Amino acid sequence: MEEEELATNGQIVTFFHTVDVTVQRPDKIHLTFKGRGQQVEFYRENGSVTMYSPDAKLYTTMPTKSTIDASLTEMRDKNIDMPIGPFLRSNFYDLVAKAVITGYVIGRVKVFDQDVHQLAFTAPDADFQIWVTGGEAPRFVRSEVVNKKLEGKPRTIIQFLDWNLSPTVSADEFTFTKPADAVQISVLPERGGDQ
Amino acid sequence: MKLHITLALCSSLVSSTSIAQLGRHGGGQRTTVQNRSNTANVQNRSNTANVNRANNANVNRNVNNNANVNRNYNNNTNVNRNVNVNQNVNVNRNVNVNTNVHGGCYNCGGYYHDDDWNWGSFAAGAAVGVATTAAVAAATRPATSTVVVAAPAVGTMVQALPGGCTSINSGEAVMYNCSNVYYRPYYQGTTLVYQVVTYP
Repeated sequence: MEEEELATNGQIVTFFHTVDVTVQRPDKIHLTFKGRGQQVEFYRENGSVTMYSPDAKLYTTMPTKSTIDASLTEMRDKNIDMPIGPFLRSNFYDLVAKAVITGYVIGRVKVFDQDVHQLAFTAPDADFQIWVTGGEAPRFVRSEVVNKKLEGKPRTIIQFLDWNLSPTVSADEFTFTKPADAVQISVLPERGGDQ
Repeated sequence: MKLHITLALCSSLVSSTSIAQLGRHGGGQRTTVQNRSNTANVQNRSNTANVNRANNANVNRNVNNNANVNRNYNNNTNVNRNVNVNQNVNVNRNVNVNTNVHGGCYNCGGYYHDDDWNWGSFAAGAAVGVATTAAVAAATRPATSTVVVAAPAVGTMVQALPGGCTSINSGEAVMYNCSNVYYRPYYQGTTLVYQVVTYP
């Protein structure tokens, strides 16, 4: 994943990280974020969301709603945004259809020797493109979002790798087991300030 | 002797030239010009070699002088070594301390807000962009080669602690003492960040 940010000197700076995503609908998510020199494990199960940093042995837990969709909405409202979030929802198509202004089929192209369809959309606050495979089991291959409302119009690029629709998931995949020496910390307030 | 011959030849050439010029001005004196020039040419045939040798030698010396000028240019490249001053970009490391000045919230104003989704959150990187706006100080070249590392201001957000920190407990919160600069960890979004705070 590539995320651009506008630096105070006006330069666009790109940050990279990877996310290992494991989802079991309707209510279980395990994400592993690796980037910027740190790892964060994200668990969503049994009505709670937990984020844990194994290197620093810090974690936070908060209650959440019953489904992944509702939980993602709730987290967004708490300023816990995830670029991968929309792709975790069960109703991606409906949401896109409701949000877009225009949509175009650019055509068939190759991404890393893979035949894909390139689609381009505009929305009120962002333009985005999606590259998907065709056939009976289409998959996301790539997405690019240009945020038009932000200075510098930074982009977020996601490259989807290693789809596995029949994974072997361990029983504790979605369960956070608190280490004895882990310390709980807070989530930073939305608009700064101290807690 | 060569000098005299040369002068004589030059005198002859000047004379020839002046006549030729007169011929040009007077017009219709082509034959005169041709004749005189022929004479001059004859004289040149006998003397040209000497004249050319002398002149060519001087030209070669000039070329050598140009070579010396090139050496001077090479010396100027030493000026480029002063670009080493850019090593002071290390200052940026300190400024990276200022990176991610969180505190905003993209689309929190609700100019476009879907009940289920906003595209701002889709572009979460951009969302973070508004909130975080990575702070990069102007890489101004300091007047001297001395780099002064200033302590980060209270409220500064970083995503990694400097080295040599010790964990301390302050009431209910964990903090880190890094050379008497105190950091408190938070989650911001899905990122672990450390905020510079005053020691309670």
